Amino acid sequence: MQLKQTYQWITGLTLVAALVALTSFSGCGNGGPIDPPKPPDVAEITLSFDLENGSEELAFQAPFTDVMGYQHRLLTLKFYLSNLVLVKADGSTEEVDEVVLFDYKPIDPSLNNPQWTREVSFTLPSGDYTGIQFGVGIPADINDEDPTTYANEDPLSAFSNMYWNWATMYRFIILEAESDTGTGSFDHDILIHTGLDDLYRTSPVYPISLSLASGDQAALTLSLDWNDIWYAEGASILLKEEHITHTTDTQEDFDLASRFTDNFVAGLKINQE
Amino acid sequence: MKKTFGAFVLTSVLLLVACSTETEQKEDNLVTLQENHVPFELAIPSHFPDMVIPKDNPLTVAKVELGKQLFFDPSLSVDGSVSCASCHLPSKAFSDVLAVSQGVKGAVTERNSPSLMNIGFHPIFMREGAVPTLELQVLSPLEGETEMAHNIVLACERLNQDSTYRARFQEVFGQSATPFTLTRAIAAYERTLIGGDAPFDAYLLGDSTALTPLQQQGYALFTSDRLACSSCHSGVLLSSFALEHNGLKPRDTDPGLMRLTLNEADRGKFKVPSLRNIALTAPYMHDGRFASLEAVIEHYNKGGDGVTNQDERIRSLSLQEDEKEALLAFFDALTEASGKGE
Repeated sequence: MQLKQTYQWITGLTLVAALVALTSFSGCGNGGPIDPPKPPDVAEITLSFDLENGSEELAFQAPFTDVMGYQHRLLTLKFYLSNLVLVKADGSTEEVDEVVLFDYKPIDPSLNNPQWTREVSFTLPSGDYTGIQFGVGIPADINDEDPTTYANEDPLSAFSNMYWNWATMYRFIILEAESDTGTGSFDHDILIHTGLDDLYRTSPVYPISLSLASGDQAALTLSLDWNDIWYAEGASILLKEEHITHTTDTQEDFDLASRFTDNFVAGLKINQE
Repeated sequence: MKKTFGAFVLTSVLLLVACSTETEQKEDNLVTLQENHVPFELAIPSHFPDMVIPKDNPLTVAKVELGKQLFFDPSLSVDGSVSCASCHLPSKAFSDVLAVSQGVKGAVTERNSPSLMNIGFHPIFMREGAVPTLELQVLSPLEGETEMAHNIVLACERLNQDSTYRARFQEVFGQSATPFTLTRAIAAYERTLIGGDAPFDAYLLGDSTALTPLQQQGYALFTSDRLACSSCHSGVLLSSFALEHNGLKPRDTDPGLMRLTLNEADRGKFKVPSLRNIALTAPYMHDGRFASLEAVIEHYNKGGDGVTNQDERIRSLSLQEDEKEALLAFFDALTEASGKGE
């Protein structure tokens, strides 16, 4: 009898130990069935950005001559993509990132601060994907967010230097360059800061063809030709006169920012490697 | 088997208690953190409106003290030369004596530095009114190229290198200086800049002798239908906080509210300033173009500059000299002792 009781007590303790172990794995408050962990059924895509001058990749701060014969040095190019989705073969979409910030400036290894680059990576479920689509800028529903509530690493943080403090909204694209438009020196500043909800643009669905199995890695390149920004057919920008806008201030500023934005978005291309 | 079941139940209960205790512990930490902080009791005069305090920024004594220290600390500017107080002088009702203030490295700002007295009662901030909270307003001067020209994250990094600041932020927020905590601390301090102790206040509260007869005449003129000053400078704070065009001829490229709306009808519209402490806050207007209150009165007396978008209430007033004196006397009665840094 005593042996039986001891057996029952040991059995009870064993059950309790098993319960404790399982509960420890599941964590407090996370209830539900306890399944052994499965390897995530995801693939990874890297999206990089290239700015080109014709067929050549444009180097940061290096002089280059555009199709009009103007010389430029690029000092800043930063812009947001948002609501980045991949379109599946069945037409449904998979949102992969709410907000992405591209910064054309090379990484400065001497800095310990967060830095954004020309490349972002994201994971998504394996499957067949036929298109990619995104917005350029920050959508209105989050354009009035408080940047101080975001971690420094977040593209929406104050650290990104994309926030318009006086207007409490984000700038969408910042392009700054110095140019020689025929004077023989780089004395012509290009200063383009776009923003405002009215200038948020949604891209077309760019066709791609990706069959991603679990663990696959794929690469896409978003490219833009400098000349398409300024010399788009029917929406050309006279760089000698139209080279500075903060979007706001005047209707002319807005009009220039609007044309710039439209050309910028229309010029974007997706290449699959 | 009963004992097995009993052990199972007992263990489940113990686990539930453990979970519950863990959750409560987290809540306790939060509560303890808040309970350890003495709430800052704002001394809001009885005739003033309530002040809206954001839920994410309750006022505590320690936070206000930290905010005050930061407000006067030039290390918030990129080169350590300019603090908030450089352009918001306590003896001038937290405004500046310059037409437009000077930022780091001699940079000149675009606008006149407004008074911060009673700023916690304002519903909108900046001259075009686009900033909805004091917390967000902190970003503008701190990162403005012609003001403190810093990046707020780097400013926080600098603060965190100072062991005293690090300890104070930890004490107040339970974390180091971040854009969130820095803006909350400064905004908390700014909310304590409350006046309400001017002769005008005593008069409003029933002391009929608080204003001289000349000041009373000026007050009557101020609120009269003929002058209608109080149609914009209304209420106990002497501002509607609306965005209006006061008839100033544009002098520069500052389009006011139009900067935000791109609507030509908004060109030249700026937030109506409070007239509290107006005798202390010369020079006047958004660009500091008028050196004296006499010049301001003259502007309105002539009916403004007669420019596009000018508010229809700005019209010729045909003021007599004694009426101008009465208005000036009334403006003197709007000076708060706390606005003089007392």
